[in-house]
Parts: sequence; C-alpha cells; structure tokens
Amino acid sequence: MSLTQQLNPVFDRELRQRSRSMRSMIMMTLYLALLVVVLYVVYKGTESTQAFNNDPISALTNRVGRSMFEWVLAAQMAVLLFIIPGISAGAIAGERDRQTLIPLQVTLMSPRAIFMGKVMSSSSFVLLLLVASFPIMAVPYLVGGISLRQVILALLTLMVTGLLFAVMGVACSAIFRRTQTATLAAYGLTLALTLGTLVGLAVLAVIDSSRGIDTVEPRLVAIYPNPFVGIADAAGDLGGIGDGPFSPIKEVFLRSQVGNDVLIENGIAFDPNTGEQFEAQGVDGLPIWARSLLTQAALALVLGVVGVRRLRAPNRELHST
Amino acid sequence: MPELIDPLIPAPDLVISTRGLSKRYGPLTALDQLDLDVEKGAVYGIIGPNGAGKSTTFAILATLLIPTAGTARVCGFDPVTDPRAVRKCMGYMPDVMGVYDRLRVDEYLEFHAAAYGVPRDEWSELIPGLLELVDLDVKKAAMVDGLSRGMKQRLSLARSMVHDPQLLILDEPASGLDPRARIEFRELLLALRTMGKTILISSHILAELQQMCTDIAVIEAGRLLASGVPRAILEQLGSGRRVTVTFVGGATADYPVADEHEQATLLKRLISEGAEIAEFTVASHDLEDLFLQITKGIVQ
Repeated sequence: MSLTQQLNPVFDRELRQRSRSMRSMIMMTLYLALLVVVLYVVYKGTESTQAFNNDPISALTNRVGRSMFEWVLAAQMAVLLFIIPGISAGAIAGERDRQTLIPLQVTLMSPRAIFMGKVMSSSSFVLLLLVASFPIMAVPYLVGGISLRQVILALLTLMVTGLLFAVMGVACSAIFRRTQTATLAAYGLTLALTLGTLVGLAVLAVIDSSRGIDTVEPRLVAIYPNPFVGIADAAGDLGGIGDGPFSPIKEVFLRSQVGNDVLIENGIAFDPNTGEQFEAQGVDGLPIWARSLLTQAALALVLGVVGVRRLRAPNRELHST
Repeated sequence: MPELIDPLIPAPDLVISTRGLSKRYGPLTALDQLDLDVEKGAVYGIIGPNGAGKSTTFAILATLLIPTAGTARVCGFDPVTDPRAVRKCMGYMPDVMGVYDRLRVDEYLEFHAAAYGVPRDEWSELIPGLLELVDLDVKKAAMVDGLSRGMKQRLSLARSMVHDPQLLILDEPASGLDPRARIEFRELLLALRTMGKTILISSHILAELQQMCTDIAVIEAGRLLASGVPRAILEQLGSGRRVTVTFVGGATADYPVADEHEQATLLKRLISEGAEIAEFTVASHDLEDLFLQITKGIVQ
C-alpha cells in the first residue's frame, strides 16, 4: 500500500490545497522574519547590558545565549498561539459554510477520521513552522548557556502544545456552526488558558491572603494549563529567575515555595533580613512541563470527544448546515 | 406497489421502503407518517412545495438525520443503525454543491474516491470514466471553483457515483440551472436510468419529472398526498383530457372528453350544428395540474 493510499483523505486534500496557497508561504516568511528580528534585538540588548556589567566573557555569552533562547521560545509560543486558532477554527465550520461537509459525512470516513484529518492538516503547518525555525533556534545554542537537551525539550514542548491547541481549535470548529463563532471561541479559549489562568491564580492568591497567615499557598495547578508555564520549564529549570520573558512565571513558582517575604532584585531572590538567596526547587514526580502538557491534553481530549460527537451522522439535528 | 407486512423485512425488489416515517422539531412536524416504496430501477420523483418535507426525507434516507418515529430501509439496511452499509449502496447529491478552492476537478473526484475507500489502483479508470459520463472530461484539469453552475452540478453527480452505488438520491439537482444545462442534466439522468441505477429525485421543474420519472409522490406539509405511476395518478383525477374550442368571434368553451373517439364525435357534432370553429385544442392534465389540484399551498 502506497503512502498516499495510507494518508487520511482530508489531510491529503488539504496538503494539496495548502501547497497552492500563497498565504502559507507568506505566513512562514513573516514568522521566520519575526524570529530573526527578536533574536537580533535580544542579542544587541543583552550584549550591551552585560558588557556594561563587566562580566567575564564566558558568563556574558552564556547570559546572551540563554536570553536569546528564552525570548525566541516565548515569541514562537506567542505567535503559534495567535496563528493556530486562526488556522484550525475554520477547519470544519468552513466546510459547513462552503456546504462541503454533508458530502463528506455521507462517505465511508468516520467522524473521528474526518476530525483527525483536520487536526493533522492544522498541526502539520505548525510543525512546518517549527521545523523551519530550527536554524534560528540553533543560534542561541551555538552562542552558549543552554544544553542540547533543553533545546530539544523546548522544541518538543512547542510541537506538542501546537498539536493540542490545534485539537482544541478543530473541536471549536466542530462544536460551533459558523466560522466566526468557532474562531471567537478558539481565541477565547487560548486567552483563557494564557491570561485567564494567571488571573485565576492571582484571584486565588488574594483569597488566600484574605484568610490570614497560613502555610498553604495558592494552588499552582491553576496555571498548569498555561502553555507558557510548560515552555518556561522545558526551556530550563525554573530556579533562576533572571530577567527573561519567563521571569514572572519563575517568580510565581519561587514565591509558592519560599513564601512572599523574599525580595527579587536583578533576577535574584533573597531574604532581606539574612541575605540568603533562593532558587525554586523542582516539584516531586512529573516535571512541570509534563504536567502542563497533560492538563492541556486532558482539555483537548474532552473538547475533541465533543467535537467528534458533533460530526456524527445520523444525528437528531442537521449539524452539517 | 407491493405492500409490506413486516416493516423490518422489505420486499427484495424495493431499494427504499419507509413506514410511518416522521420527523418533528418541537411543535413543527416536518414529516408526518410517510410511507414510500421505491422499486429497483425506478426513477422516483418527489414533488412538493418548499417546506413540504422533501429534503428532510432525503436527509433521513441519506443517513444524516434520525427520524422521530417510523422505520426506513435503504438497500435493505436501516439508515440509523447501519449507516455505513447504506452509504456503500447510496450516492447522495444535496441541493447545494459546495466546492473547494485550489482543487482540480480530477483531484476532487479522487478525494471522494479515497473517502469512499475505492482502491487507488482503480482510480485511473474510474475518474476518466465518470468525467466522460458527465461530459466533463475536457475540464479534468480545471479548478473546481471555476466551473459553471451546470458543470458543478454534473461534477456533484459524478462525485455521488465514485463508489458505483445502486441508488442515487438527488435533492433538487436541476435547481438554478439554465435551460440548456437542465436539458443536459435530464439526459444524463436518463442515461443513468438505462444503466439500471435507481434514482430518487426531487425537483421544482415538474415537466422534467414527468418526462423522466417512472413513479412520483406528491408531499405537502410532511404528508404524502399521492403516489404511483404518473399516468395512473392523472387518471385518478378524472377527466383526463379536455377540449377547448375557440369560436369565430373569440368565444371559448371547454368540453370534457374521455378519449379520441369522444373528441372526434364532439368535433362532428359542433360542425353539424353549424358552429364556426376557429380553434380546437386538446388540453390534457399534466403534472403541474396534478400538483395544483392536490396541494393546497400549505407551507410550514
């Protein structure tokens, strides 16, 4: 059996269509251009700051490399989270709008196969963007300050996050009839998982502090679904706070472990009375990046099941139109 | 039409059989106790005004919609409990054909052939054959979204046949087509009929249905008003033919006649009575008369 015969027909068709679209090429060009700009700005900014501090050259390159790595990862995550709902939310709702879903539903393809074809199509573009960014990711690695394991783990986390958000987007597309509603829902969900989880944690913290002094800190599980938490952990341990894009997340983890009485200056946490410095410790059991991906996967699974059910035919109502 | 004793065991020559098929959306009854039998090889036309329940019936038979009550069998299978078996033997063409952009005509058919699980090594014969049948072989490499409406309808018909189904369910296939495209489409359906396909079709163009259908059913407000061979239904209406006589001076008169002999007798009598006849026209009932006579214009 040839490869094309094994391919999901929906995925196969969409690959052909995408390959003829200028939009994909333009998006990829803009994506890579943005990463190059971020890399350059961070390099120049960090280099000048660190040179001013008269750090030894090895420490300087390590700091520059890590800073570039974190900023490029954060930029990749932010751009992917912006692009994925736009690509995936129209996947099935767009078929409804174009009146092409009914002919597809009466074929021998199962609802799950149709759904998976759409997920594969959406996530393949994300994968393409990430693979195309490999040379850019190699630059901070060559500069120094990060291990190959961190690079690979971070890229894998980005890929899995991209896949899971594509599942969520396609599910929104199956659940809501119109493309506009599905797109709105997919972006709303992304916003809820990124900013919403942070706001949720802040609310929990306020509630916690209003209960007076106790040893129970707000539950960090509230921010596990946040994709930036996963990538922050995958990019390196959450111990050193630093001044990169993941510093706020690292600070949240540190304060949850050593309390709110520590001061943080120049990316270093210390006790103002004793001068003792702190670093957040890893959690027992599964690493945080895995917890983050697992919570996202659970949400994607639930939404995916609902989405596949909506594609099922026959149904009590015509969801196809 | 053979009568079914047990609705779960259709007669072997019936491709479609429904008993008491109903669909309700809250207080609205879209389909009410529909009994329908379509024999193998028949071209069965369903006529009715907008909102009569034609598309609901088709959606149930095409495994898209679960009925509220009643049973249906398509090729002997239940569309609700065994939709996959029904899809293997049935090709469905919805009233609106959606198209993909940036996809060629042959790729469009290949996509659906793959979705129906047709082995890839059969495509090289199947796709050109289908394109030739619907007269789109010269458009093989054209983009689907650039085709005219008539061509899209023909392509949609080809799509519904990629898995060589025994039954074709065509929902308003001629709607929106210009006269030439309608004639071409009608000829195509007649060709399919000679190939032995069973066709269930709905249309607003009643004259077309009269020309191609072996059986018709008239439904309104979800209820079956009449069904059977068109000629038999027309005869049931009585006074199958009428003669309109226009006299010199412009006066006209209608005379019911049973057959050609009565028609000739009438003409002789009028002439012998000295009537000056300017025009002697035979007007027989057609499907449009039937439609107007038995429907009441109820729209849900």
